Amino acid sequence: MTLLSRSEELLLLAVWRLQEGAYGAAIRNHLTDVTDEDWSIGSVYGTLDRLGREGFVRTFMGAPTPERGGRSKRFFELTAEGVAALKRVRTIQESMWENLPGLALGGAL
Amino acid sequence: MNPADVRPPRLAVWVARLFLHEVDADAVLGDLEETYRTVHRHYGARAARRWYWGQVTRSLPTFTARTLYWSFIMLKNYLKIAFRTVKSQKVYAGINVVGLAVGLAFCALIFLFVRDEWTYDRFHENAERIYRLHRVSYTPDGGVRATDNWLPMPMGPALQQDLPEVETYVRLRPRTHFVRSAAATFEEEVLYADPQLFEVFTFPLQRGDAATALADLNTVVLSPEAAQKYFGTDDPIGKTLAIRLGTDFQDFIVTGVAAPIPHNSNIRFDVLVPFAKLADAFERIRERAENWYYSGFLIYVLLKENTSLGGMDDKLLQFRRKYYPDEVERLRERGHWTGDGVPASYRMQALTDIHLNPAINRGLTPPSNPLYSYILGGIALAVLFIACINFMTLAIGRSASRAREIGVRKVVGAQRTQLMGQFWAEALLLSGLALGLGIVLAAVFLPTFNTLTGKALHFDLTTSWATGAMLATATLLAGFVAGSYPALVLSAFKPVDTLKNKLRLSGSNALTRSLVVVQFALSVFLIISTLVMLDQLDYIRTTNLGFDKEHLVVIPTNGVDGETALGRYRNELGARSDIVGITGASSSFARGGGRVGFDYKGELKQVDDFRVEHTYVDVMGMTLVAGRAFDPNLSTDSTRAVLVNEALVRDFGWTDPLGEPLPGLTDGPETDPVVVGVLKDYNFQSLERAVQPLMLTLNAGESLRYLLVRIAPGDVPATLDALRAAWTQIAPTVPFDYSFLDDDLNAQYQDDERWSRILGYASAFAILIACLGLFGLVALTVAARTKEIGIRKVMGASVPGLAVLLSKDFARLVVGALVVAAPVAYVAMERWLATFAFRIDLSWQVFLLAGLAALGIALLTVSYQSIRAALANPVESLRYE
Repeated sequence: MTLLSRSEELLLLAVWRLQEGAYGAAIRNHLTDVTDEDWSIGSVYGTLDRLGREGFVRTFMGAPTPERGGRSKRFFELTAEGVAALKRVRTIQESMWENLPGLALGGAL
Repeated sequence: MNPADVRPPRLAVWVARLFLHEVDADAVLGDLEETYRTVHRHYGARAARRWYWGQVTRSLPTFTARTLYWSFIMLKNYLKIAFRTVKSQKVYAGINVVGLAVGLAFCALIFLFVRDEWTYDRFHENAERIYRLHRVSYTPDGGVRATDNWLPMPMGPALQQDLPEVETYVRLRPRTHFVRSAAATFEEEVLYADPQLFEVFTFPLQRGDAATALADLNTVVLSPEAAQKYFGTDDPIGKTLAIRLGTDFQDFIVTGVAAPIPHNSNIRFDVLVPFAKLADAFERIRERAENWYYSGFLIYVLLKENTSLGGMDDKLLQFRRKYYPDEVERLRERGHWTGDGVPASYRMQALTDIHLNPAINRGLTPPSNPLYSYILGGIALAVLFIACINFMTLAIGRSASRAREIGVRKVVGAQRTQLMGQFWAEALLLSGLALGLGIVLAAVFLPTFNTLTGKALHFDLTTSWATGAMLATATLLAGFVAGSYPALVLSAFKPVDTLKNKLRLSGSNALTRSLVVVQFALSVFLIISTLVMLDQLDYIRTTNLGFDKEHLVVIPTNGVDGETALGRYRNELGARSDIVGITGASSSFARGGGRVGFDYKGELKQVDDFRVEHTYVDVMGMTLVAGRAFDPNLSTDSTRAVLVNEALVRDFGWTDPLGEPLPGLTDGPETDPVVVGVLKDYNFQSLERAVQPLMLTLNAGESLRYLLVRIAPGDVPATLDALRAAWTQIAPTVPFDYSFLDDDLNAQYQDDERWSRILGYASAFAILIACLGLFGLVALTVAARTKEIGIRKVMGASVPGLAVLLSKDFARLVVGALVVAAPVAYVAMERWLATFAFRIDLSWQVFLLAGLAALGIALLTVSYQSIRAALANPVESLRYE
């Protein structure tokens, strides 16, 4: 199993955090706020599609709302595999970070 | 500002929608719009617009990739469902596939035919620069009187000399000779050609050097078939082949073997000899090699590259004037020309135009009427169309049962476009299956088709991409057209209506009815045409021609002296009881003839002229209406007696023809022939033509070119053996060659016979496909009316009554089709019959017969289903819910 890429990881985390409110615009806004970069909606959906094919997220359609011009929302939800994948990258990352020489000195070697 | 009035830039939305797949366009656009509103609120309209555009442009690559991905997924899904639908509806699918397959097979075969016709002579590398010359003669008022492409011999070199555009020329002349090798002797059409032939045309040599192959007078180039025929598997190069020129065989050295000539070539040869050999071998031609009044040669020119044909007509007119300086005066003097314009000039005809231009008389191979291509194309499209209609009527018929499926699909969220995709996928799947079957059918029927059309077509999808491309296009088109009704109409059903059973859909509606009428109208049209053609051909075969065409053996003398041969035949065979009569003539029917034109009281009269032996009228079984036949005991008969037919009497306006002289045929009135008898008109030409003026004169010298032997009907092979044996004694070197007169006459109508057979096949297939469709439609109607039938039975309806009830509707449709088809067929067949001078009248019986046939077949098709439904136990049908 390949590791999640950084953007995949961020997206999964966003979906997890937003819970019932995890739909396209909310996810994009959340990511934009956190990373301070203007994420394109295309890249959000493109990555989520890929994650969906891997079985990390499920998707379903919501009801249309007026502020969206009467269009439905597409919601996303983490699957157990998605959670497992996230945990796995976290473990790897932590072990990579752990006891790095000079880390305590603020990275100045 | 009211948030509902804040709208993202319309153009950007449009662009985004363009690249988004329908399955998630809604969600994505909704997300964008929602965020757009937020940005608008915080940063103002301009920033929001810029942000929106930025989002859209940056997202386009992912949008596109996702769209492709989704389309693929949907296609897979469509096909999967389509396979299931097809599997669950085998009869329905089978009807569609078989019908379409036949339609596609027809299309494939006819495409091969049409392509062959339209690509004639295009394989020559210089095809665009090669032209054939022909002479056009005009009527005094400027109309075209006649065209002729058999031209004088010196014209070739003169063209090259006088016209700077002409790079080189090739003269061709076919002549029939006996050709002999150590292994075999055959009578063969030998083609005399200038050696530049290989330079102008693309006839590569398998063996030998094209540049020198025809350089020497006694050289010959063979086709691979001829090489095989005369030398078997031996290497023919350097071997000797003898050709009988005049009376003696001369030896020729084989210097080349050509590569096989494509079938769609106007110029074909088996034995190719240098053109110069003509003048060398025949004194008659040698004397006239520079004579501009001796024609009989085809002339092709190769124009220099980048030459325009502009002004060519004028140049050719100057050319004509140069070589016929006193033409106008001469014609005027004889009273043959009264106009102010030019009596004749030349024209160039593009090589690629030759095959499909029947207006100019035949060269080496007969031209073909492009009308044939159109008619065949029309038939193919009609058959394909009938098959497509099946598809549609059956889809409409099944719409009742599918309506609920559509409703359910819509309720669970299917978009209309997805349903359309689904229906089209089904149609394309079926047409794809039909394509496979169609290819098999086309391959199976190709030999039959070749016989029918007289062609040698090949069906090979691996080498001919054009055929494959045509079939693929036809398949896609058929699938698309056929699937369009369900895709466009059924997909629009409102789910609530379908689920509440509000849509009243029966097995057939107005559209289905009219489609069935169209199908049967096309079928009936084809049936009527076939019947009329068969009728006319039968009329031609059985009509009394004015002479006895049965049991008459035609033996061409092939250069053997006719008078001697006739005399010896009489001596040897005259006493046999199975030989009824022996005579001879300058020509036999359907084998060409001679025509003389002469000036009769200031008018140019054209009269067909047969020189015959004195027993001719008797042996041929012709009828005299006045005067007497030739009398061998009257010495003046051989020089001055002439028999004419009634048509000539009418044409010349004679009231008392006996004793009338035919002036202008000889030098003076003392020697002019005089009419001694008048023959009842007989059809010496094809029945397409009215009987032309004709005269018979007694033969003199070498003019008997055919022996005509009337035999008794008993043991024909034995009689033929006797004729052959006698012939071998008379001319041991010339093979015995014979035909029966009735076969020769029938050969004249080969084209018509061919067309009647093609139409016969087409109408059989058309009605077959139409009936397949009807069968399916009736099945669906009966299914839709199951309950009604059950109730009727319970209420006491009889089985025959029910069967009639179910069949009545369809019978009405077929009658409607007859009403539509009959007038169209009437007009079309009247036009065809108008090409015959001797023809049947269209009778209402033909139309009735065609109508009854269509009706009968249709009712037979319907009755199976309707009787079965009527016989069914009402309990079964009423319990069915």
